[in-house]
Amino acid sequence: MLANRLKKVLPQCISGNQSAFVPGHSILDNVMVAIEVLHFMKAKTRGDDRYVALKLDISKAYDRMDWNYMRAVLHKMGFHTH
Amino acid sequence: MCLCVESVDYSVLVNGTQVGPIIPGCGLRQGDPLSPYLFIICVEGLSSLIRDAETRDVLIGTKICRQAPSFSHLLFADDCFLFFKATKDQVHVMKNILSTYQLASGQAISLPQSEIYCRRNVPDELKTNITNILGVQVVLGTCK
Repeated sequence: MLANRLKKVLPQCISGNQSAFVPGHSILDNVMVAIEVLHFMKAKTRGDDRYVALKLDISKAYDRMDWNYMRAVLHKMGFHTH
Repeated sequence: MCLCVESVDYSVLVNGTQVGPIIPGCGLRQGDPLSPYLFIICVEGLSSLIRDAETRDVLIGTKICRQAPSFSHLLFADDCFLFFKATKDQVHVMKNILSTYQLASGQAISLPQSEIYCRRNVPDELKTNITNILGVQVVLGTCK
């Protein structure tokens, strides 16, 4: 099946920043990083480095996707698009 | 690949007579195992935009200590966590990235429902500036 074939090459296409759905990554890895960073941001009050964390909300994320964009991304990644 | 993707058609029964076939122009069936994979490939576009900005040094990610690796974004499927320095320039860069991604991918990022958390040493004036530029709401960080 197409999904199973895609799964095999996915770790090469997706960067480490994405943790969901990628075989060999656990979503909890990034959760842990996120918790640590928020703790760091909460705990430290001194220092010059000013950071902000932005949590994004993508509405209807799975439903809205431009197919031309999708095609272009797949093409860029080296998939053969018909 | 898209040939395999767009191969579903529907027919509907209306008052006992069959109407259709209705051929969807695009899209996958709900629950298709392919859709999460396609989705993360799609979000990879956002990720590469951010990484590109980082290599051009217009966006600086967070470091928790001096020798720690710097990182600017974490993605959990459709939840994104972005980290950057609290300066006006960086906020504008991030806003541009988001609108570029929105235009390209057709996805709608609803900024009013997004939340920003500032590190404690960010002054209030800068905080309100940032929220005005992005149109997001500030959270105190106690809810997570």
